[in-house]
Amino acid sequence: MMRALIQSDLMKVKKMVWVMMIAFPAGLVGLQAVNYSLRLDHLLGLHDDYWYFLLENVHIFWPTILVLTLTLIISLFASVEHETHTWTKLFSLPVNNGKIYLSKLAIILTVLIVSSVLFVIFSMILGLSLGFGSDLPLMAASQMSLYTFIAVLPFVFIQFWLSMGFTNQGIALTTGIANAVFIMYAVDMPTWLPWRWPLLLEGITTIAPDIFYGLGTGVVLTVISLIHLTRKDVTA
Amino acid sequence: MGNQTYLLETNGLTKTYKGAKVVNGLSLQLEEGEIYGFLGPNGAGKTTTIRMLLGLIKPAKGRVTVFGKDLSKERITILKQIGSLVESPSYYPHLTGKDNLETLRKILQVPKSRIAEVLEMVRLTKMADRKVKEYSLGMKQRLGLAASLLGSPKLLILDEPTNGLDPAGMIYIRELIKQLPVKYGMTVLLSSHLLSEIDQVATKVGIIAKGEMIFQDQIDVLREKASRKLHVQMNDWETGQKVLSRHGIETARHDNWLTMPNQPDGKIAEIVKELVYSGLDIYRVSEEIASLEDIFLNLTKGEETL
Ligand SMILES: Nc1ncnc2c1ncn2[C@@H]1O[C@H](COP(=O)(O)OP(=O)(O)O)[C@@H](O)[C@H]1O
Ligand SMILES: [Mg+2]
Repeated sequence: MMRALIQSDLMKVKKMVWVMMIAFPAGLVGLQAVNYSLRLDHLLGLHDDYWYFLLENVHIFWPTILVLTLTLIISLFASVEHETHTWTKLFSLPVNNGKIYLSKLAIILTVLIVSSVLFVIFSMILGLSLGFGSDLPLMAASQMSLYTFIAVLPFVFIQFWLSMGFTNQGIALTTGIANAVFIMYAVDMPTWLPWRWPLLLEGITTIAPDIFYGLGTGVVLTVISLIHLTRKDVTA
Repeated sequence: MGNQTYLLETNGLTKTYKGAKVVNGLSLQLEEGEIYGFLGPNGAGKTTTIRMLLGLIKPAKGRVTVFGKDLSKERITILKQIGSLVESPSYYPHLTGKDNLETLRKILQVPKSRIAEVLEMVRLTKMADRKVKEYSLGMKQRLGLAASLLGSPKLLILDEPTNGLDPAGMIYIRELIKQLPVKYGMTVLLSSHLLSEIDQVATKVGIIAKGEMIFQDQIDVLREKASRKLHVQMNDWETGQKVLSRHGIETARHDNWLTMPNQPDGKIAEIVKELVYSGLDIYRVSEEIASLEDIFLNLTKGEETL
């Protein structure tokens, strides 16, 4: 049944989702390409390990971009159902209410993972074209991308809850965009604040407690939001 | 009557919104093969009731039994055999009509050929490959109906399915619904705020007003409730009124017509004789049979109808 639900959900996905999945990591790496091409000598002088320094540079705005991506993508998934009141139809079908949400969640998480993988690939292409050599730092890049993904999970579930739960996407979009912006200024925040976690301040390849906070908070929020969403009255 | 004969039954169904009982102690019985007209003015609680029948909202009190099973316990099993269209039809505007049905077909797990069948039933075959945002309101409504038929349900629940349709579309849908029990063995529950829409289709009627069921029986029983009135037109209504009042008949006046409750034949002969003996000129004597619409309006008096 999950398979049927996922296939059904995939049919409804708006093209914009695929566009954002590719365009956001491409755009971010593209900005670094511009940055490097403008002041290559200066940047190469700052760090011995060109590859590692490149990863650090592309990662600076990645948490913000990822939160922005997930906010918009989740809202698109929810709008497809809110717009023409298809929730009523969906929940009148002979399937478990929870599975209806889980199917959407599975696709959303997959889109974010694909986006994260593309981010790694684009970064590698940039490094190669800057002539950093074919000794690709795939391990470090994957760690950076994976840890960031895990650390933004709490934001995935907050957005999921807000977007799916309320017809009006204003609340969800405002919250998501505010969070994305807030992350840029979270460097000096206390460790227990989730905005800080995706910044990977202990090093982009270090398994820090922040990552586990992200995972734990993410799981707890999923459970709470799914319980709430599946139990509430379907009135639209 | 043994309750095992009911296809769908509710007992004391109640839903409260902000302390107000929007549906109040509703008991509804639906037998197999019936077309049940669920009638009530706007805001009476029809949609709220239907949402409870589908398990979309939880009742504050009461129980829903469908196919002899408790809805709160076996919802998914029950929903396998129910098709529904609640309030406005739901659709994905950026997909074609066919793809809209395909998103549902995957979940219902019925053969692909079923899509062409239901599109044919609602006469949308030609529009199947067009995006639904290009559909007229009537086409969207028909697509919604096609979607509800997709799983070949035993029970079809349609909430105001002809809302917003042009007269031709209304007639077509009405005819289609009429055939469902005969051709496909379906049982239908059909809600409306207009008696005229249910009158020609339903075999049984339930009337809801302010959340309470105020009438539920075969439509013929409703027809028998039609109150008859007698109208007599004469030259001098004041004298006429006095004469009749002496015979214990209270009348109301409209122009030079006197209106009274209907009387048996003998009594009418007597009344006319008395009036003539009193020197009055009788112009016309006529009988009025209240239409079903009048009865409905009477039953739901005080409610807003449109
Ligand atoms: N989600 C809700 N919250 C509060 N009141 C509601 C809600 N849904 C319906 N109502 C109220 O319940 C009453 C019955 O509504 P409804 O069942 O839609 O009537 P009908 O379908 O017969 O027109 C109305 O007064 C409506 O305002
Ligand atoms: Mg309604």
